[in-house]
Amino acid sequence: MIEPGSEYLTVTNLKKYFPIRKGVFKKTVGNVRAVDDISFFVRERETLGLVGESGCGKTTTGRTLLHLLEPTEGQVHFRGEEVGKLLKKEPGKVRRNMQIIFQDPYGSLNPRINVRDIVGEAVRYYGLYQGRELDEYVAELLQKCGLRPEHRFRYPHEFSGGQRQRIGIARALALQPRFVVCDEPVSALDVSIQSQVLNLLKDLQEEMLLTYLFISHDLSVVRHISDRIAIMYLGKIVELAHKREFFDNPLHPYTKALLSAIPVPDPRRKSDRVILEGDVPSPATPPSGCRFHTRCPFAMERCKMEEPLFDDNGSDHFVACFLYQK
Amino acid sequence: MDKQKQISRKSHHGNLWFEAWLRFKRNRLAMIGLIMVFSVIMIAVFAPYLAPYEPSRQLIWTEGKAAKLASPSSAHWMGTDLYGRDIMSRIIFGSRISLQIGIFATLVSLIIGVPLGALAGYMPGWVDDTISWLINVVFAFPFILFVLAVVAVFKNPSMVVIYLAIGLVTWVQIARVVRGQFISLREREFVEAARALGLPTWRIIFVHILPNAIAPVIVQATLGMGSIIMIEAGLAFLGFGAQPPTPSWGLMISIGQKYLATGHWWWAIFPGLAIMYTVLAFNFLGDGLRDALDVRLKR
Repeated sequence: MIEPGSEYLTVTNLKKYFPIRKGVFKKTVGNVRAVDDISFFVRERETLGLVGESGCGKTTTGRTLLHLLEPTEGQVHFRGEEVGKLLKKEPGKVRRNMQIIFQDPYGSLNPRINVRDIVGEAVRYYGLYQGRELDEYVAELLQKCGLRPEHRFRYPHEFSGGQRQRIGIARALALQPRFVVCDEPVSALDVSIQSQVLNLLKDLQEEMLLTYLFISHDLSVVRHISDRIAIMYLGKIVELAHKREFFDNPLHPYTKALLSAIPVPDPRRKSDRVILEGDVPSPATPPSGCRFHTRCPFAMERCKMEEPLFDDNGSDHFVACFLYQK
Repeated sequence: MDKQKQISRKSHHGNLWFEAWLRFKRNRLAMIGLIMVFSVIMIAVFAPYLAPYEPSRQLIWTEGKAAKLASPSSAHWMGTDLYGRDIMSRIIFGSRISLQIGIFATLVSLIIGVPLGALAGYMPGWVDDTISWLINVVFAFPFILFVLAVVAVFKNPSMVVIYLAIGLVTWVQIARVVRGQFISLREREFVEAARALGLPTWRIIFVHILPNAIAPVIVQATLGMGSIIMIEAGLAFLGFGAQPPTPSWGLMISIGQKYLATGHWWWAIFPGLAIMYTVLAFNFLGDGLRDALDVRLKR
């Protein structure tokens, strides 16, 4: 069991349901269970990679964790304080400490204001710096993020995708946060630019003592940057382990299938791919018991009836599967 | 260093408005619309200098007869009406009435439509439901009837009443556009980023959403100018708009059309052409603005 508030950032029983409304009176006829009762923690200064297919709820997890979306249920504790409560009391404290970097380098910057204002607006709002000092601070921050200081007078459309992503990173780090949700920050970039931005994120983490939740659908990207990796399937986290353990000793059948799908650049290696049958079920009507039982090659009777606990299988290796439950 | 900064600043005045202007300039119809609108404005501003006669003066021929219903000639390019007034002078002064109505009624519709549309678009739930309901009611109501009712409430329809009445009907067009913009912008990541930074709601609305929503509003308001001028003409035609002896184009058509059958075509046709020219001008301009400001086409 993961105790609320026991670690640097703790998420306990987090749920986010989106109601499906129909008819003239907008009656709720069901829920899309985007995030359905997940618990995990992130340790200080580590990077937790959150991996899953599109639609599995990983982005919603990031948004709900920051309370950009109101959680349906469950709590997030950051350094021992409950984020939801703290937001009502001291919203600035939450917002300054917890930030987000977005996926779409085109949609995430306001096209009407220049880079200095994009990066510096919140800094000025919180009164950290003003006037000339603010200007210098922004210039310095841009430089840190691999941009030129004079870029601060330009507008977003004058930049390439990679540069825009750097601006987004500068904006997120301008308030000197401690925890950053990176929501697929390199997925929209060319492969050649991806590694540059990933390395930038790594360097900044070192320098500014950051803790990341790194959301991605790309296992190789996550492997590059993460300390621990979590796998999400249909609103649930099914496995979470340290990087080495995760790749050397994957437990959950879904994880095994995912890992076997990573292409290996060796023509002589015999492929032992696990091919999954069928499609991901709808999160509006998830299967009973274990969410994965409809596609799992090892599904048992029990899997249809009961939901497996997400529990530590020893040595910090969490998995939700009856194959490993004592 | 300082000089270099200035240069880089100057060469990259990458303002979206400036880029829109560059696109606008390349569009021939848009430029024609702009010139046409500009010409109407100039005529309105310099009416006293351009009009050959006073608009309401009843002219007398040199031989002592009233210059009634004179056909177009070198002295009266567009002829005179039943009262011996010079039609061209009345049309020139009439441009002031039409522009006034267009500008002030549009202002009224913006003042009502922008905040209500913004509110509806930013706050889903009962706020949006209520405002959307109101918009639909106004849309469904026959607008001429509504304007007539408002005008009728005030016994003596002054121009201000007419601005208000037209504005009270046309704001729904603006509100719809603003609402749609807010709904789509609300979900954009840069707005989410502003919320994640903990910026206050008013800053999010005024700094991050409104400036991005303004372009379609400008287009809608410009196109709306044309239709408002038409509405005013229609009201005047029905006798509920400008009252005689105001040189309103609609009023001139209203009275002049009775003389079409008797061959005095100039009384109604020329004001009609003036309305057409002005409405066309605003429509060309509006279309051009839409093409120039549409961010969806680029990005």
